[in-house]
Amino acid sequence: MIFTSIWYKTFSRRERRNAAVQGCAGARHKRNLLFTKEKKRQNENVGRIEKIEVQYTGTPEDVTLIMNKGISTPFNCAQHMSEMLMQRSALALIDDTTLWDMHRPLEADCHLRLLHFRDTDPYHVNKAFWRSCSILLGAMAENIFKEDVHVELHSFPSPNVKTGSFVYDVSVGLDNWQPSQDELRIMSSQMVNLCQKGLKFERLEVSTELALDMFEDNRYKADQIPHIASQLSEGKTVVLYRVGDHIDLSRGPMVGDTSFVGKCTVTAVHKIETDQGILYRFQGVALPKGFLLNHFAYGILEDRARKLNPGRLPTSPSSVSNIFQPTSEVVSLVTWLLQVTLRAVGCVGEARCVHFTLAIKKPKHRVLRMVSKNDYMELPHYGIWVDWASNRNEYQEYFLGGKGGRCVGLTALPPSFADCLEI
Amino acid sequence: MNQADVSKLMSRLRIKYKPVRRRLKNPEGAEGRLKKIRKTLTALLKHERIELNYNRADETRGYAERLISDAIRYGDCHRATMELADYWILEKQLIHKLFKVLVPRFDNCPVSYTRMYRAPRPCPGMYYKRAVLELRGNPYPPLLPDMTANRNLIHNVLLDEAQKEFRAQKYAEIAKKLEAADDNVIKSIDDGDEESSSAESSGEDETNVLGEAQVQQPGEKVVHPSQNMQ
Repeated sequence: MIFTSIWYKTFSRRERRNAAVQGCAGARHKRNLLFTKEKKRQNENVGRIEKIEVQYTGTPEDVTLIMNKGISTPFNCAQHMSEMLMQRSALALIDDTTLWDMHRPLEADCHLRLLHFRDTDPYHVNKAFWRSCSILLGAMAENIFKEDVHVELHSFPSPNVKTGSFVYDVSVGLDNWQPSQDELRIMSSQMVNLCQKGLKFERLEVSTELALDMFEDNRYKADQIPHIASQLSEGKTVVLYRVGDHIDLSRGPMVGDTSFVGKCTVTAVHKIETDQGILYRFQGVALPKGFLLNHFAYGILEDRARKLNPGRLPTSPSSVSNIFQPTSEVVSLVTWLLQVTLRAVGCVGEARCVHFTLAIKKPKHRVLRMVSKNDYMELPHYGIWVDWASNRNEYQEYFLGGKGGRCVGLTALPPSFADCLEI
Repeated sequence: MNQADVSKLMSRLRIKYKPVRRRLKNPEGAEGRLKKIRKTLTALLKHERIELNYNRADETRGYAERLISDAIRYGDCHRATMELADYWILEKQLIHKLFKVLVPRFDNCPVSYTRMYRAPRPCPGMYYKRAVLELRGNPYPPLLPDMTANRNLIHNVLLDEAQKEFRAQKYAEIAKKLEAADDNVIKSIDDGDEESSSAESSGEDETNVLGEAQVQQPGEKVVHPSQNMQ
């Protein structure tokens, strides 16, 4: 057994903590200190408290709340309204357009909706849940090995519930490692332990320099950070999430805390060969708390999650240099085309091209055309635009009823448009 | 050896019940307990869904199950069953409901005839646990949320995708089998043609003819069963 379970049994928590700080996990300790410090600094920067008006729509009744700007979160709003909302709300929707974490402070006057797993269409919540599970899988994978095994987290592809498993790609300093059934079981139990703690997902937007400082021990993440920052519209920041003492890069949003995860299994670890050497793809499947499925049906899901997940394989950011940058004329042209098409099929409503997710590798194809699956297969799977690109087909299915591969990144469209777009 | 099998003589309940009766505390003692149960049972048959204290609901449930199962077993021409129904049901028109409505409804029911749920209590409130007792197949909307109809819920998405994948896999297998069968048929036809042509060419090369005959046999085996089927 390569796991630290004996180590866990032998030493008390305090001894473990001291040992960890001195040893390999010193980097994590430092990362946490920096995170806490930065969070404190940002909290102090709020300054004089201003009030904002939050209009809540939904059950049990529509109310208007006066909250604190930069301090109050959607979770605080739920606390004012009902215990039921506190317990079940996994994600918030601001102004019907922006998905917001439950524990992220609100920044301006807004309309608020709270989403949960049993909505009529819980697409976004499911996706956030899958993403959260990926992060937890990463947290588990980083902790589970002995001190002498060098583990570096790489990244995870954009979450897609339909693939049947959530994924994290990890570099493990072992040759030809194939986990036994017992080892998988231990990993599952560790993950369950993590979920039962009910740890909050803390979101923090930090500058690139600080992020680089935090992830200096992880060469993959250090590579990714400038790339991710360059993709963000504002430029110089990246978004970090902390759960327990694990910190990771992700755009989010995540569900409120880890207690939303109910039944949970780590099903397989596959060896994958990539540009960046040999990585291990950890896979798992989980259901939200309160979703009871009999063991046979859950067994079917587990069996499916054992197969290698078809999510995009990781590549180094430097190999992706040819990124199509649309000019404003092209954007307006596409917007116009979109509107004409929508009018032709008899849709009432408004549509505009918000973001381009067109990624073209070969220079000779640098014209606007339909993007086939192969074109974006080789892009790295973290960062802002990649997340959208890979979801394009999924979104299309969601909004347009699955007309494969024709639409250009109809991505940031608010869910309220779903009705008018349904054909 | 010669003793009767008791489980065959009595109706077998499909619910879990306590072997010791509850006394349902009241000033009239045992008789009062029966009176309480009769009232509750009558209300259950009348309204089909009632909310009450947990103990009383659980105690009544066994009696209701037994009464319905006897009614199904013996029918309305059985004196003992009719007396039983007359004793337990206070409002006599409900005896007609028992035999004419409930018996046909539960005739082929493989599970229990009643359902019981734990009901919420207002906090702070009474100490007693509350329960909802109902007959199956009642006309009211279901108490538990429907987790199957909405295919967008996460477990349904996962199961649907698993089903799709399974089907695709099965279709691929079937297609492969059909292709293999087709290949065999084509091969056997080709072999037959070649054999006839080689027979025409008066068997110049004997080894070649022998080889073809050997190849032909499995082809024939494939063709034969289908002929038998026809």
